[in-house]
Amino acid sequence: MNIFTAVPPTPRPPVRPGKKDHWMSRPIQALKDQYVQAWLYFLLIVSIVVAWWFPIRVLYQRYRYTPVVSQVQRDAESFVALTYTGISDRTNEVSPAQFDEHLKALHDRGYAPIGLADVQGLLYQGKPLPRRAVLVTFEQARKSSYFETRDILRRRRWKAVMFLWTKPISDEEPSSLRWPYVKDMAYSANWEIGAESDNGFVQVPSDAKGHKGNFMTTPMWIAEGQRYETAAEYERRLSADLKVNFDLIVREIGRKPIAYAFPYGDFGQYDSRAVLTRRLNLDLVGQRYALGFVSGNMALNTRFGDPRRLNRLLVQPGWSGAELVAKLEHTWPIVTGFENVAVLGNETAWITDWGRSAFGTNGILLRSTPATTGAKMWLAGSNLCRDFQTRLRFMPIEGQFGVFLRATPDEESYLYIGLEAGNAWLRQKFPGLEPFTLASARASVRPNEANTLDVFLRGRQCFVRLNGVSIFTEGAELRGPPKPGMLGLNLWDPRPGMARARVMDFHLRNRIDNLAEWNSSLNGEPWLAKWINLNAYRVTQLGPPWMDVTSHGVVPVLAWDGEVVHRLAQVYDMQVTPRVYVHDERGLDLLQPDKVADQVQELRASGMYVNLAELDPAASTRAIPWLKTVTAAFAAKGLSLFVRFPAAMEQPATLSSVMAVIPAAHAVVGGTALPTPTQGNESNRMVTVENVPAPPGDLSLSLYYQITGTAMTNAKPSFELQTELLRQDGHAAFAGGDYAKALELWSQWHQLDPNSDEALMLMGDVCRRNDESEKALRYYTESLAVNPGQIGLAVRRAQLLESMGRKDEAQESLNLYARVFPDNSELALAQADWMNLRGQRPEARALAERVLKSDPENLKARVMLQNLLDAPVARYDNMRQLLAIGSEPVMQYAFGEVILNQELLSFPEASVLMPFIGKTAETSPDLQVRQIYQRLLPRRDIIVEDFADGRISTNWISSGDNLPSREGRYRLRTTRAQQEAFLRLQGSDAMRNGFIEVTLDEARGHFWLYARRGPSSMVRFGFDQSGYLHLQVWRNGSAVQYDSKPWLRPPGAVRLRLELRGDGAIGYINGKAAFVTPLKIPADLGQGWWGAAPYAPQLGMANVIIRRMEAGPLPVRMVLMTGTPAAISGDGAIDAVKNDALNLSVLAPVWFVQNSDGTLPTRIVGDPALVRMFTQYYRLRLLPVIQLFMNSDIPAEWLIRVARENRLDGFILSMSHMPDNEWLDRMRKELEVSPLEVIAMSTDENTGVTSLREISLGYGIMPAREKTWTTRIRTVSGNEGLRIKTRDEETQDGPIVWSVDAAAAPGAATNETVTAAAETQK
Amino acid sequence: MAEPKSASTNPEALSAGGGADALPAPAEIHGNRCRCSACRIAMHVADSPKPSVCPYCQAKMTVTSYVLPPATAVAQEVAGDDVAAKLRRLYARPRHGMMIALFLLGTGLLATAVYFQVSNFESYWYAPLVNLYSLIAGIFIVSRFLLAAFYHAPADTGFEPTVTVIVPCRNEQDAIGRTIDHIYSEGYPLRKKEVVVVNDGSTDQTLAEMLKAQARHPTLVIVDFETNRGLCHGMAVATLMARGEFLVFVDSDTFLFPGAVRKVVQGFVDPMVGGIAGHTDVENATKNLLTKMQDVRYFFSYKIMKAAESVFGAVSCLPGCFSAYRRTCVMHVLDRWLNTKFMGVYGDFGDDRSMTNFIFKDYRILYDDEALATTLAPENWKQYIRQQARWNRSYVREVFVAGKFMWRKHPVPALSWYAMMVMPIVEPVVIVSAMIVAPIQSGAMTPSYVIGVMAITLVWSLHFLQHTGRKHWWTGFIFTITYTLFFSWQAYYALLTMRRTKWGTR
Repeated sequence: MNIFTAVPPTPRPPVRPGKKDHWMSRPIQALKDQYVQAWLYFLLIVSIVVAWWFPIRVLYQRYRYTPVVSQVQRDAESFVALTYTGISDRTNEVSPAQFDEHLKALHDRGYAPIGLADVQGLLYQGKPLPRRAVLVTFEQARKSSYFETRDILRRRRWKAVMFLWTKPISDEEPSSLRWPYVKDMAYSANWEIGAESDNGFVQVPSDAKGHKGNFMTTPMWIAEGQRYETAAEYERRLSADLKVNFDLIVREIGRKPIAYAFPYGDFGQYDSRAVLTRRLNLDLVGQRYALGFVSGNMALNTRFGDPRRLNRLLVQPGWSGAELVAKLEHTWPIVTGFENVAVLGNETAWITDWGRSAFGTNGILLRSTPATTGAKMWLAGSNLCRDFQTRLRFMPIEGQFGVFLRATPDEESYLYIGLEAGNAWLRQKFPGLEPFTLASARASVRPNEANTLDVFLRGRQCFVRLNGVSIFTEGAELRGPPKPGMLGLNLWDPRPGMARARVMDFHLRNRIDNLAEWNSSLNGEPWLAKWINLNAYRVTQLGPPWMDVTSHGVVPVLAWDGEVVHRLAQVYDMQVTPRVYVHDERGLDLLQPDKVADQVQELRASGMYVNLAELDPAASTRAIPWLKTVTAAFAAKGLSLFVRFPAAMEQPATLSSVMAVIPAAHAVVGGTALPTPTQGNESNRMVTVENVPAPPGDLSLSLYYQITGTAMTNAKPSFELQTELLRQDGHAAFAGGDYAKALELWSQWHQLDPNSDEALMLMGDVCRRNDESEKALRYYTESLAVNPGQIGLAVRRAQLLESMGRKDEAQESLNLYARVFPDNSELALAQADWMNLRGQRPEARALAERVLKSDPENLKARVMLQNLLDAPVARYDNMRQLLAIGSEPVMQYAFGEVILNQELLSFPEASVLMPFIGKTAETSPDLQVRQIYQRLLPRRDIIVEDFADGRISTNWISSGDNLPSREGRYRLRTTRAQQEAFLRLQGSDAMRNGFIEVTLDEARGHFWLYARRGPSSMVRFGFDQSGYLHLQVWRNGSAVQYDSKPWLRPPGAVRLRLELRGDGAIGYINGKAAFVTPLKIPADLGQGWWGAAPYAPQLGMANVIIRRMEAGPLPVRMVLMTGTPAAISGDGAIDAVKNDALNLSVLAPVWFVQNSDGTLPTRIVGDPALVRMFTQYYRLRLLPVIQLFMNSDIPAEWLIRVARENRLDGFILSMSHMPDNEWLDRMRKELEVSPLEVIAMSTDENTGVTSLREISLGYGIMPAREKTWTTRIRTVSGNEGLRIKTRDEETQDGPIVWSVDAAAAPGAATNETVTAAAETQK
Repeated sequence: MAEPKSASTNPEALSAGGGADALPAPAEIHGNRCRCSACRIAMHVADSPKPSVCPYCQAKMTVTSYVLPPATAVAQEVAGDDVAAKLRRLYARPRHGMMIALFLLGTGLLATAVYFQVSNFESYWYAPLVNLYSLIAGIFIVSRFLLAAFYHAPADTGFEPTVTVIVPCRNEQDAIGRTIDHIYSEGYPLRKKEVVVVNDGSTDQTLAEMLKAQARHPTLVIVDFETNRGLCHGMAVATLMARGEFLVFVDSDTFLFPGAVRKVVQGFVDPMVGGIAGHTDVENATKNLLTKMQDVRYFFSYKIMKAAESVFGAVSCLPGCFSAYRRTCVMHVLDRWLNTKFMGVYGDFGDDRSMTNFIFKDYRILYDDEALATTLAPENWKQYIRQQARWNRSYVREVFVAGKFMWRKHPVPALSWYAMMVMPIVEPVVIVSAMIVAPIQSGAMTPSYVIGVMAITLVWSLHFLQHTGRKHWWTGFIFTITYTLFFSWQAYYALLTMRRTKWGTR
């Protein structure tokens, strides 16, 4: 049956409008096919997965792949670091398989992986690391380095650091990592993230020729500007790069990286000149990161390294695991058990850093490559050696040989002993600072022969012995606390490829403790101190005889000089252990251990030394119970006990069995400085002993003795830099005369570093300069307490005490030092000074000469001698010697300081120095040297101060309390500790003719203007509190010329002026001469500085308000008187110059005219009396002219004789042309026996220019600066007379010469006028 | 109104070639031609009721009678053992050992592909686009295999509703008779089966062939468009004409296997199911390389893709060649479907996808891999390319249409859908970067991509081999290569030529 027929199709019903069409409506109400729940579940799962994906993965990986640190103790303070440039299958890189092998080898040898946090903990908190810790690092964010190694690291349970070079990451370079991976790494257990610059691997142009250099270490050449970038631009560039790098990492991984690796492992260490680069890089990295890494041949880092430049060994592609481990094995510190390690033969123990080394049967041949100027080699693992001794046999072939101690391989900090034919020096360097020479000496290194060098490092003491002789006298003290570092050999020659040396033998050994004991007969002998001084390099312990124990009981020994022994021990870092000498053990029972311990403490000793050597072995063992009780008693008080047993028991086995009974005690055995290695004595500290020998018969003592008294106690580099900067700034302020600032800076230093003796000393110096004696004394005393070895300071302190009137104390302290250091030159000089002041001049001179005999280059002694010499020739000679020493290039700076500090220019003979000073100030290549010498040059300009801003310019050094003043005024006041406050004109030390003028508003106390003020001589003009006006000349501490008058101060401002010219000093008040005639200045009065000073006997009372100041040199005004002898002698000529007499310096009548046969008249034609009287009255220098028509040899004796006969000050030699230098030098030398002033003068007829030149430099009159002066002679006709326009001419400081024809002078005819005039004058 | 007279003939007897009471066959059978002159449409019915009004204008139609040509015998191949032989040929499963080996090999390859995918993910950030694509594509493809493994054909519950089989065609004089014979001889009870053929204005002898078939099968309903109206109109009119509860659309070049109709409607037991796709193989697979390749491709897209989609009732496309619909669902969307404009143009292509989407919006769509049919695939490349272009256009258009409601479906098909939406667009870019840019940059093709693609191809080719035993399984690679090099770009071409409505295959 067909259903279709049964069910006919329903016709579609018509659809009415507005009715729903059921035909089209859904036939089945559909079950809605909805999946809301499914979606909810789905979204829930997705959200959970998304939210927890990262943390869960991190947790899983952290837990699953935590690096295994072997369970060894964490007690190491060093680690090695490795760096891989890249891991890939490329030929020139380490392959993944090789890397795996490396890790396996490291693991098998017990190496433990550490991370950056461990390193940071070690370096900053001192947290120890596991032994054999190794830090594995990768560079440059290389993709393959991560992708190829992560599985290996996980499998081996190892960890590594990746340093990110961010530029390629940002640029999405295919070979570089991407940030999501970096983040993954940062949060995994196996990886840590460091920074490695953003763009630091590019090259920047380094010069105009198109060379390129590394981005971080090359100052960029800016082609547009044709210049290098400035330091500021350089810094900005680097710091911008670091910032981008840092910020990117922080942004991307959300953590701050703590470590930085320098691109190419280079922060500028490869170029010693790149000081700025190094400092900049280290500073910038130090600011941002806790750790910085370099890469190279070094692997080991210790707790003492600079955290900003940690070593990483660059792993070479060829190394197998075994090779890598072998390399590392030798880098570990040889801290323990390096008893006499002969390390030479072991090739892997040395790291050749530079140049080339060849190991052979007869040692190492160290040489430069054809391209290098030297070679350098480091002893691997020497990083932690602190106190040690080395013996080195070497043969220098070519170039300079040196040894680095406690060095960092980049030479940022080191101790260096340099040896060259004839010379040796010891230098120390701190990071970021220039190296400084601690000591230098003449030492004979034998070229092409074996030399033996012994170096002893003990705490801050360094002793060097070459071929058995101590160089650097008795040792040198290092600055800063002992800090470990590497030991290295260095070779250098300026010619590339030439340097060469052979090292035959190298021994390194631990510090050896050596006890010196002596018989009581030596107590009090100067020999004892001398012996200790000489042998301090190997003596670490002093055993002064204290008690003798006999069968009858205890015999106390004659008191030993505790003061001396303790002082020596303190200076050389030795222990004092008084000796108990046991002759019979039965007497020991009488010694109560507790009592003995108390006594030892009373003696300020650190322990006791019991000598049982005299007993027979059996008897000595009977003493052991007593020793046991003593050790117990001592241990309770922190004292130590040293015991020496009879020689028969000094077999290692016997001794150790005996010592085992008294474990806290130390065995003392007989021995010498460098005994053969001893074995099997590890339980007790072994101390060798030696007896101080009896003094030899000949007691001719060497005198030179020096301890460098400079020290800094610093712990961290930044700290060092800080203190060093304070120190330098303080020096700069001090040199610039800003004592208050210097004091403040040095006080800061002292606060930072309370143990710095130097800071205290310098503070004392400032106070002393400020006349604050009590404070100065306190600082000096403190400084000496910190470091008693500062002999120079001890001397200064004694001087200070003396100046304060506490002579007994001064004497006492000097005596103590003299006992401790019997041969010290400084002490000898202090002694000489002492004698000189007490009138024992010849003795003092002898002492100074003795010091000089042994040490001719001792500047101090020379200066001292200059004071003590009387004969002019000898004085000149001494001054020349001084110059000879000081003009050596290495000495120039020190010499400049000596000239300044010792006020050498105040000696009349200082004119010898002037050419040298002038030349050095201009031509020295060293800026510092130039600056110091420029300060010594005489002023040429006039300084005017109007105090518009209430301040004084830097041309003045002020010692007082610099209070701000109102505008237009300057207030100078003494501090509370001062009696006097002075203003000192810089560069005025060699000013001969000059003036100083001060306009005062008000003054409390005395007020003085000073000229030529030296240590004991000066010229001064001023007024006192009691209403007197004074003009005084002081020489050798007493007033030799003076004038004074009562004076009522006029109301308002007062203008005081002191003028020096010729041989007279004139004081003006408000423009009028205060006294009738100028005050005579003795010709031999030395030079000195110019200035002004208020003074009051009461501390802190002197006070002055200055409105205006003016000071500067004056020109030398010279009048030549020509004409007939009669005319010159007559008063007409005098009349011509009379009105301006106060402004003149020299009068030069033409008195001697060479005869046509070349002979000279010996007598003055005419009567010189009038002229002489005139010059005497006005204090003009009388220098008659000798008219020479031919430059014949004019004998110096003739000049001296004629001058003496005619009572003349000197001559002017009028010559046809200037004689040559040879003639001048000879003449000068011959004239030095007398204080004669001789000037050569010649006039060029064509140009009319006259040249003048001082031949003798005696008591000169010309400004001490130029050799030859030129001027034009101004002819004055007699009628007019001289008209000096003072103001106009003061701008010139050279000579001004007038020629006055005496014959034409008004009133030349009559002698009456002259006599009348003379009478009226009277 | 139905014509009682003409209903006396027993169609079962006719199809079996003879009835219980063997009346002599009448000399001539009269059919009724009902024509609407306004719409130029005519219906030829013999044993079926005459339609009273025009499906378009609802106007009364003029009915004329005609004489059917004498009935010819049913083509030999349709009946008898041929079908069983063909089935054996098509699904000759390899030997057991071989099957296991292939299975292991395929699983191993798939595992390798997954491994590559995962390890490549480790360096994901170096080529995020390629990696994201291959990740999504990898998950997509692998998920297809996994889901397909969970696929079960709808169970045969004995459900036997009334069914209308609709065959729209144009200029198919060679195949149409055979197709109709196949449909009639397929085995579904004739009383529950109606067959409607639509002649869409053919210019050849198609109508004659249809009338010949009507002579053999008098219940056949012939719809004759005097002018070409388009496939969808044919389908629509046939739907309106249909009286069965379910519609089975069969292409004129598709040949049903016995039992196919019965099997394909089994899924409709579930009232939420709106459409079911049958399984189609390539009839002319042995013809040349192209058809072999398409055979592999058809198999994959049915047995893996559709099967996977069917697990969540979300088969994306009911292919026009052989699919079944719930008639009420079609009726419900018919108007909208017919009047859909895309970019201002009536969409006259990809009717199957469009229809699927309309139904899919509210119902589930299944796939039945046991309802078998074969179809004729394009035999030359030109045709193939045009067909692919048409499919692509339809794909691109419909994928976005469905995207609007896809999110309401189960997350798995929804996300797959969106992945399918994006992948063809991104794919060419990825192919360029993997095969061209990467070799320039790093000197080698992105290996994971190439290896991954090849592994997947091998897996489904082997899958094909395992299930069919056909020797040309390797042509899967041809497909992959041609697709990678050329056909992947057709998505863009399709986008550019979206307005073209030309029927590509013919």
